Amino acid sequence: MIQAERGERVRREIELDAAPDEVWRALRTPGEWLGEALQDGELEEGGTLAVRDDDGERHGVVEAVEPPEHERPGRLAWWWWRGDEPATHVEVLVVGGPARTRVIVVEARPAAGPVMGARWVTRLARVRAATRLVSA
Amino acid sequence: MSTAGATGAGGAGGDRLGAVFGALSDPHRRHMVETMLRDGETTVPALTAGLPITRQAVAKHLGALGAAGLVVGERGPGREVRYRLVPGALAPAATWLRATEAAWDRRLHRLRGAVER
Repeated sequence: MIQAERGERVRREIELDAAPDEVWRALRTPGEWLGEALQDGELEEGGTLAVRDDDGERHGVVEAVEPPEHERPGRLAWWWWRGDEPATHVEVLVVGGPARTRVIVVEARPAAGPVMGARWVTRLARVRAATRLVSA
Repeated sequence: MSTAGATGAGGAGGDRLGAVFGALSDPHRRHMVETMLRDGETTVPALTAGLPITRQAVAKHLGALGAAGLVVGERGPGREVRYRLVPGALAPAATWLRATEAAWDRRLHRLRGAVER
């Protein structure tokens, strides 16, 4: 049966027995959770992302890095892709509680359409990544 | 047999899956797909009876589902066109959803290991 409520996006949530700052530090370090890091350093806004996991290598560009502050949840967002597949958009929210921290992940596949198809988004993201690498 | 609407789902490969997800992004179209999953074949009047939209809107949505390769229409013995799902057309979308969910479960499990020590 088709899971209509999920549509073209996948949502996952986890509650962790750790402070938001600590969770945020781990989230910004791809090697801690996204797989084997293929480049050094933390995720930076406008920077690139490269990891290898059981199902292959993923490359991407980082769109937003907003640390958790007081009442505001932390937010990470990036576009990434595997091989020739179209890029997908990932958003990670970090919501602090009194004792525990909730992490919510949404990965979305843009719908192909006349205006902005998935392939176009992938191309744009690749151009951005290449530009970034050249100017770095 | 005639396809329900325009052909051309935007090329092969990944865009094909994007077209499927695009077609499924509308709640009325999802309702129509679920009706066909349940009933097998259906018609524009039958679909219109179950939705708060016009016949014309139903026909347009069927066109979008046809363009994404999800639905085909076939003229029956009468003049009425009967619509049904293309076998296997939803499988790649289901596969992507399952694989992506499994990948995030794996990553979040690693995250737990990294911060709960």
